[in-house]
Amino acid sequence: MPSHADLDRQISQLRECKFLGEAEVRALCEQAKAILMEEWNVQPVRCPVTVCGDIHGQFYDLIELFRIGGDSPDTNYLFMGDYVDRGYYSVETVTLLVALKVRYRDRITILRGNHESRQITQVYGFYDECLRKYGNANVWKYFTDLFDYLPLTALVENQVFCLHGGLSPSLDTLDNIRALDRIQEVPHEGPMCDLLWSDPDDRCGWGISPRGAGYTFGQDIAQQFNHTNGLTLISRAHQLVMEGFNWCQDKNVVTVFSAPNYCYRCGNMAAILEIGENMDQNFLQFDPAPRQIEPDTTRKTPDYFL
Amino acid sequence: MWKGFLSKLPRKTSASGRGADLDSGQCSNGAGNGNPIQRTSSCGSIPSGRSTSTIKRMSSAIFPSSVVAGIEPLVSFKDVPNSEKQNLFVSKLNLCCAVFDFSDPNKSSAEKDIKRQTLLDLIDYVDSSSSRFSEAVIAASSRMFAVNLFRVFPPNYRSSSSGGGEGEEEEPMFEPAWCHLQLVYELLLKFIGSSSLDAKVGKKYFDHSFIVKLLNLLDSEDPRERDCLKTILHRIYGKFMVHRPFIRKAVSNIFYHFVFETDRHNGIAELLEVFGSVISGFALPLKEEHKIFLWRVLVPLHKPKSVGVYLQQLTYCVTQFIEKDPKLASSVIIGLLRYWPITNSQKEVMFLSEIEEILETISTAEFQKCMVPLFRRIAQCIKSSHFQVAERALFIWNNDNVISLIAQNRQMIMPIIVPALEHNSQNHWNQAVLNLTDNVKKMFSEMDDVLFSACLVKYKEDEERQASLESKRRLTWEKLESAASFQPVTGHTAVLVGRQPSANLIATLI
Repeated sequence: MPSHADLDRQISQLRECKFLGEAEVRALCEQAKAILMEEWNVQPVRCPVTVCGDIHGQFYDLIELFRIGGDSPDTNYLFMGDYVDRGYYSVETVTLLVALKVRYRDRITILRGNHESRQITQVYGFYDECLRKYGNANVWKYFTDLFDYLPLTALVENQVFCLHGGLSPSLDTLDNIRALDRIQEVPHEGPMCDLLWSDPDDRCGWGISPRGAGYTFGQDIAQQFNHTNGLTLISRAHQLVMEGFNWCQDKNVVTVFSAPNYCYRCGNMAAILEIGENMDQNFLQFDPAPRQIEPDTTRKTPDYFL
Repeated sequence: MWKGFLSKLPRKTSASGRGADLDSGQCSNGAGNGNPIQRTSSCGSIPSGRSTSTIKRMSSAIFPSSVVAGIEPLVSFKDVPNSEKQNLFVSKLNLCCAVFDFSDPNKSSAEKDIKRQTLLDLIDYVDSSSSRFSEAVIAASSRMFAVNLFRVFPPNYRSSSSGGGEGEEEEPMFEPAWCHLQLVYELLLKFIGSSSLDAKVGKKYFDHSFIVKLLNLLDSEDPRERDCLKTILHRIYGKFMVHRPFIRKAVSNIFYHFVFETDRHNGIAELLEVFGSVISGFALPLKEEHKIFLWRVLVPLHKPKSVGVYLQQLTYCVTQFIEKDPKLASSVIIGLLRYWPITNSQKEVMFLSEIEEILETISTAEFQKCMVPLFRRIAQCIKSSHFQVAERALFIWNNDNVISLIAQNRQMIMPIIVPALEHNSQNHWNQAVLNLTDNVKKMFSEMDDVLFSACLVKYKEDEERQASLESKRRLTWEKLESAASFQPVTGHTAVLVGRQPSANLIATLI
């Protein structure tokens, strides 16, 4: 078992965007698994806490997020999934978050997003990034095996319900969610899939999701869910919002998105939601960190040929 | 009047307009309720982060500057006697040598329209002309084409990162001067194709230098321009027999430059498309030069990471070659194995598709020459944790021709493939891959149950041997470590202490 000193060294290495060795990742994932196994499908979280949305491998923007929101563990963080895919640094991003979780388990909560899955990461970039950086798929396997243990949702002071996607027609109460067996690959359908894939929509009742997984749900559904479970708000991520956050459904639902200039091209701002000691809410918006160039992996013609 | 053309120009869509959340195309627009910092950015606005590239995208190629004094419209062809027509043609060509700046649409709009009308007249004339073009006409035409078309594209005017083509296509950039260029290209196409153009005289003016410059234009960002050039190049290759070896060499050079140096060229797909029909015209037996083109150009063209952009055309060229000379099949497969992608799964799927296409027509003799290394690679793909790679590899067993080749050579192939299948059955995470694996196993056992069972037995033995080897190695390490921990540290010799070698140490050892 690596000591705190080992972990601290790894964290400071990761903060410089230098990824860990394969054996270190393996050990880290083993430890993280032991910690996450103890957590609940609806993980209780105390305030004050800062709630964050999608990161998608935008490592330097995650560092910017810590600069804006306060460093970990000084600030208590809750991340609502989608750490990998799309950006150039999924490996560094997810390793840093997992390392922080292992080091400061009570000061950071990491939930599962729809991209924390084997199938999705093979289509959207994390798998190939692992092949490029490690020369084999072992690190991908360690992480995706770990993702099965991530909690699906969190509950801040029994009032603010946080999750990646949205509600499910098969889940009326938090106890329904608590009863799910979450230790598995995200299924293509069913309640666990819905929590990670659904979106709020301007409509009544339930709708078919254009994403091909999960559902869309109307304000009536969100209102009913909040009422049934004694909640004040559903906080979720999963959708790009140009301001970084977006209230909808008469303030029953808020979307938080924390990847500025998503995919290095969308031009959006990012935001995080600070929930204070008295459950007061404050949004912090931020722009992309200056350094956004793709790590140069292509061979250039040497100067002496010119 | 010029507004009319402008409205015909394709309108650029803003970069941020699409692909908000690329999973779904959904985009909920932030209203910023209760937000003190109001910004007006919305899906439609140009994202600030990309403003520089947005400006770049608007910039056109650098035209050779020509002083545009006021130009006057010339008389119409129908108003002059036949004897004067070619002279008028030359005058009109000279008028069209005036090149305009399209970065400002308001500038010289009257003159631009005169030129456009004149180009249309020229096209009509070439269409209807029956008498041979005089040398003066050909010279003036060649000059007019050169002045209008040949221009240098700004260096790096496409950001280097987008050249990679990691599945996300950049929207193409459109040439602002297209309303003139298009007509010049149309005229060039008709001129070259016209029976009035004598190839013997024409080849002097449409010479090597002209061809090289024309080929360079295929790097244009504008797909419309590349499409015109493709047709014209095809026409030139057809018309000027004497230039054919030169064109092949010049195009090879572009490919070499692309594969081995820059990794960046916009017109590879178009060049390959032209070559597809060039190859189908090769006489048999194939010249050595052509085979060298296959091995040194077409096979290495599989290497760049943007191969997906032109793979369809490339595969067509390769299969054309093999159709011409079936004896090339195994050497192509061996070549593909040499360039096999190991860190790009999408590319790996494409390679498997091309392999299957080649196997579709391969002869038994050629198949036998490459089957061992080929099926070793396929076995690796079957075992891939990437579900699309594994699926694509297993799909090969849906192909009747391949199945019959495998059945004929099962003694060699089954021992290579069965361990991969068994490995999947025990380890693979993806249900679809597991189902496909079961199907192939079933097929094997129906094909030759005795051999299949023997392979299974051997697999199990190998696994056990491997496991015992590993446990032996672990034991040796443990012994070594415990022995080392009893030794005092002496001098500067690094001594490993502790149960597990730390990752640090492993890293330094590696």
